[in-house]
Amino acid sequence: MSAPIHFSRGPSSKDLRKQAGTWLKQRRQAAGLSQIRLAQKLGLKYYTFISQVENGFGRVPSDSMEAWATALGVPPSEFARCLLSYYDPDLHRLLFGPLPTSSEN
Amino acid sequence: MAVLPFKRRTNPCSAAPGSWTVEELAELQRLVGALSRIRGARSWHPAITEEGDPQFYLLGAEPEQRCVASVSRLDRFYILEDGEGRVLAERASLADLVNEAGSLFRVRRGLPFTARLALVVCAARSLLNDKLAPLEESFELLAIFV
Repeated sequence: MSAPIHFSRGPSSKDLRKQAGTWLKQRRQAAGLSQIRLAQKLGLKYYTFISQVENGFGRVPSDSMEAWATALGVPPSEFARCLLSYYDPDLHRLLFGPLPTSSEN
Repeated sequence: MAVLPFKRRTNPCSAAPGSWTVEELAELQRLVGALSRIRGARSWHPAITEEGDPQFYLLGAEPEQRCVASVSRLDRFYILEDGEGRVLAERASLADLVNEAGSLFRVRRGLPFTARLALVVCAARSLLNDKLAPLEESFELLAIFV
């Protein structure tokens, strides 16, 4: 799994949510799942929330991160750590150190 | 739980797949107004799912602009979800959905209040028990000596 790449200047939480959505979409496509199939795996009645999250207008709830990780075939701790880097970058930095910036990649 | 498959709408009078009609947008604007006070909706953003179904996100204040609610149209049904993906209503009529949206969100806001009220009652009972228990012991001792 590739490491998340953030901007060197602090992006807004809105931008970070968009980046998280893009990352999730890439993970889903890499797992060969449609939005409907992922929703089925997560036990959701409709697939609309998957679209909302991937479009950057929603977050993966903490209590369902493990289910998302399992459905996408990503180790849960790695999945949660990556999403934390988008959803709460300050906490992620305190826990795991600074992220690589786009200029370092 | 199975994700419900919907066939694409074929009525030529209806909106093109993935887009909202003018009438639907007018209703959705009414929803923004209704949820501005109780959910802090400030703006909106139309979107489309991978399957080509239209979505309408109601967003909170800048800079966070979190999604406070969303409406999706899947074939003949309109789905109202809160910002965390919980389905609040499914209706065949968007007007009905918009009319009910305010009360649906107020019900959801009311539940934590009930929980808080129960917590206060429990805390008060616990406090009373703590205060009365030593008194009961005193009365028991008094009864023994008398």
